[in-house]
Amino acid sequence: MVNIASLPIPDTQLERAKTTITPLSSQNSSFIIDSRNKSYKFQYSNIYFLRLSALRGFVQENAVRQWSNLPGKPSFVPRVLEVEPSKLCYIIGTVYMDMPLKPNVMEDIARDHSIPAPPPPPYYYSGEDQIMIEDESGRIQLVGERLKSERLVTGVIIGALGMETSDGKFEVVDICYAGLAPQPSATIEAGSQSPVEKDTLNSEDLPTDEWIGIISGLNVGAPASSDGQIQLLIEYLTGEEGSTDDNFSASRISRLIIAGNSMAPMLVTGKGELDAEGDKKTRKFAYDGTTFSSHPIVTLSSHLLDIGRVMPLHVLPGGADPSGVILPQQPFPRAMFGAVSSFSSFACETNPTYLNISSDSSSDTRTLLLHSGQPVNDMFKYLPSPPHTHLGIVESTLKWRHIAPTAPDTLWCHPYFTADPFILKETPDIYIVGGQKKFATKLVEDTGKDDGLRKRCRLVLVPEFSESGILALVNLRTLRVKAVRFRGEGMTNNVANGTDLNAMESSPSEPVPLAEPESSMPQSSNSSKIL
Amino acid sequence: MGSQNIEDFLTKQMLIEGNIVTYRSLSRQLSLHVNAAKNALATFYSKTRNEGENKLAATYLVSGELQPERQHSDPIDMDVDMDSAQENVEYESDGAEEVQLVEVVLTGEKDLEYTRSKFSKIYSTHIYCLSPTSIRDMDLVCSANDIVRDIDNKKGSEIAAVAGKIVGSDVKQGKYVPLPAPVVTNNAPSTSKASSSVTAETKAPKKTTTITDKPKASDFFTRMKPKNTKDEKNVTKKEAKKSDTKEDLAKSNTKVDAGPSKNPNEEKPAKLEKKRKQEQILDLEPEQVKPVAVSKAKGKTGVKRKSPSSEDDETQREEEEERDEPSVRIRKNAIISDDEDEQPSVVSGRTKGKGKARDKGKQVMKREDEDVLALMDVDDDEVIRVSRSRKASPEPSEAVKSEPEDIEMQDDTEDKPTAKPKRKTKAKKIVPVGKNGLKKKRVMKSKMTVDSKGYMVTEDYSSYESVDEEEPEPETTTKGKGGKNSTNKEKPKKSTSGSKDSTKEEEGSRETSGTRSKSGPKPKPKASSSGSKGKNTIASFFGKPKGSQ
Repeated sequence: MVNIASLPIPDTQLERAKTTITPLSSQNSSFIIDSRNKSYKFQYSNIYFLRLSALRGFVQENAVRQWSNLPGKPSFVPRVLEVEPSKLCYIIGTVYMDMPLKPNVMEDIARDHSIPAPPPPPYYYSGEDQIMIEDESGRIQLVGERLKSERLVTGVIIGALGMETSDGKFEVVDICYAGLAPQPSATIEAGSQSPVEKDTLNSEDLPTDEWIGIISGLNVGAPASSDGQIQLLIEYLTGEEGSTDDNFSASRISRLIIAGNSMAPMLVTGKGELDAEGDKKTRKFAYDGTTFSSHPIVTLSSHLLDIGRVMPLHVLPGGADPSGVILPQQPFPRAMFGAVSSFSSFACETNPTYLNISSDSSSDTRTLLLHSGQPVNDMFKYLPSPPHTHLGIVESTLKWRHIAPTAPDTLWCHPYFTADPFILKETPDIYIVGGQKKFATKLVEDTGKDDGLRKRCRLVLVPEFSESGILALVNLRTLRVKAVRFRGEGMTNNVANGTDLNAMESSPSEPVPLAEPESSMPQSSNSSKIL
Repeated sequence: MGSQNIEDFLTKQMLIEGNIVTYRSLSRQLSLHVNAAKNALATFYSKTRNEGENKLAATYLVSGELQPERQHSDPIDMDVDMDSAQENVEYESDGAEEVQLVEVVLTGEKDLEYTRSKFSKIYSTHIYCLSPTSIRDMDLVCSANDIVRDIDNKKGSEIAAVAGKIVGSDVKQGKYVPLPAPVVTNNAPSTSKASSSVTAETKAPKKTTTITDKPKASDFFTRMKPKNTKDEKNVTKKEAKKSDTKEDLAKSNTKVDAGPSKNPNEEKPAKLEKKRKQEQILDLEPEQVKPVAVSKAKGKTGVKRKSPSSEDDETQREEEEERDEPSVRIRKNAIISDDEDEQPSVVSGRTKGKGKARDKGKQVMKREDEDVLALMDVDDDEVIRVSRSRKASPEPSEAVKSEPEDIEMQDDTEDKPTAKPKRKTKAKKIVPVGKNGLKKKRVMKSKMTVDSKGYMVTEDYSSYESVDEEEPEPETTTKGKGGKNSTNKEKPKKSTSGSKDSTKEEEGSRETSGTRSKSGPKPKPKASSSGSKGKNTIASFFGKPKGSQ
């Protein structure tokens, strides 16, 4: 028996920190696919074209800045096919990774459909990969040692310095990207750093600071339940758990963001398959208790209600959620979550989404960019790891000014016709990626040597809660990050102490696509779901 | 709540009923602050222990900061497939920061000391729950949740305050209002928005706004096409240019009401009149829909609605004028934007028109969808209309029908200018257009359907027929029924004038039928007529313009 000091009963209620969602700036577009854009008949080539035309200018600026003073005066060749052999020059185009392991639509078509398709590969990387750069004129293969240290995936707009070799390839000496997009909230001339901004980032967290909480991957309904941890999380957030210290820090969490994968992917029992031949049709829309259970959503709803009663809540769909698979995933229907949907402070967001959060205690407004991790996890398949890490990839997306370059190649995305919404026109203040394996955070800073504008961005990689039990907290003023981990010691059903690690890993953490990305028609998979 | 009560309660729950009691369930059931409940659990537990009874197991919750050095071996750092530190070396230094890690750990009594030893700073340790036996499965602590949630649901904010929940002041029940988000892409304001904000006076300005928006869209296309196809296709460039010019023209036309009227004058009166009637019906519909969606405050519209029934031509015409814009807009919503419609008329090139039509098709599809969604939210009446618009949409994409489209568009533009010709004369003129007596009947009915779409005259005809005579073309039958029903409903309500007109037309049609067609007097021949009509509709459709021109 341990002697436990009895807890004081506070006389006054703690007050929860309050933040306000403010409208987005005109630069940060909404990811809602409204009805006028809800057409799937456009070709994906538009996206590449738009991306190239939108980012080429920035890449060229950087290229000129970096390379124009080099000896040999490299010239800019506007079309990649017009490079002249053995003459130093630079070209700008879209990276295309030719990877034997990457899903290939031609192979899908040629496949014998009587045999079940092989599972999608866990990664695309192999030794035979070729890196191409392409623009409107055509494509040329890039070679060179320099590429190996570079993090390149399909769809990134780069500038490449080098010269054409005798065999028609392009030997790369250096590579440049578009660089960090301007950041209105921290647009400060380099050198004359505003003392205020510098102070806020260096100062200690104050008790008056507002924090936001981020979780991802509750995976309610997974075979290995994490209900216990979720219970601890809820009690922590409501401020009931622990001592007054805990309660106080909980009271500073002004809102909670759930970055995807709230529900575990539904397990197909196989019964449904058997029925599919005959009987299934007759009860197509009937509730089939043998193959489907509404239990996970009921459980999740009651969890959300517990949290939604005490703080504003934002829910993003994720890859495992019952939502459309192509990005941007559209908001869940609110009614799905039952009672919590009656709260005006409960918001279903798109994935990805921008949020502008302004703190009530100070005048700070922070722009958050959130997504549930599919773009990063997809890019990760392109890259050998080690050495590459998820955090490094996320940081790269800032430099590429594009959060999901592998869409539409291997990442399913909406066939945008008029704009590529994944282009970063502004660097967000906080960039949160859910659905990760491991918690990581970093403050990316650009001192503004290039364009005279200082930028910084807080990256937060939020791991799956069901595996890690981690709640990430970000201080809106100082951009400092804390992690709170919930777990049980010496108990089953929690992975954090390692007892059930194997079981957890075998459970599907990612949905198994029903078809290879390129062979599946987004129209069919999405039109119904997005509605 | 006396301590004795608490003790009794806990004794009953755990020792007799064998339940798990958490501090939360205790606090809810006895309306205690959670900290009081935690203390009560501790008191009760120590008491039972002191009495030598070992029947209870305690589960503790420990929270605190972890020792910094422990973080390296923390599972969070090891989740990645590689396990050894050696492999970690190979990773790029991505600059990940170490962050303060707070842990909240649930532990049984036997692991309590071990757990506490891992913390560098302990915020708190308290009893989380008491149970008859030690808890091995973490999910079991959720078993008391039903009670907690029940009481939370019943007592709501009251219990939250008692128990010590920290409730945000901005957490409120109510309707979620999404913030207005800037939209990236080219967009005409959605119909629902437009309609909602519309008042009778503001109609004109609105029209202009929609027009300006569209140019954006088309601008976009023009921008895109040349780039996309840069060298290759001159055709597309031409198209783009064309659309530019068209846009300009469209702008000028639409902005100035008189603009469109010029062109239409050239068209033949019979057509105009017919169109005009259709338009009237169209106009009526907008009235109906808008007041509902927007605000019923529009007193004027109601009055006007009645006026058409009075058969006074002048009043009707006035109405038309006023409603011209709304009607145009609705047509736009349903099918195609009005400026686009007008464009072809200006250009007058048929071949060009076809190319254009395809472009339109895209936009039409978009808009249509959006309209459908928007309308679904609003009103039953509007829903009906949506179904009609659906009908119309597929057609524009068909190459064959592009021609009819153009013609109709021209008609639309002409509608406005038509000075008030006399109703009867119009009706008579219309009658001649139909070759058979049957046709005429169709025309009458078709008017209703035509309004909603405005453009697709042929289908409208067929749909009406189909309803009446059961013999429509396959496409039109299914859609047409819905449309017809809707129109039927609308008829009695609004367009008394329309019905009267139709009666007049009927008369005219009878005259003609008597003269021309063999088919028996009015109603009987329906079946036979339907067969002929089905064929005739298309033929007549194409035939009309020729005849008129």
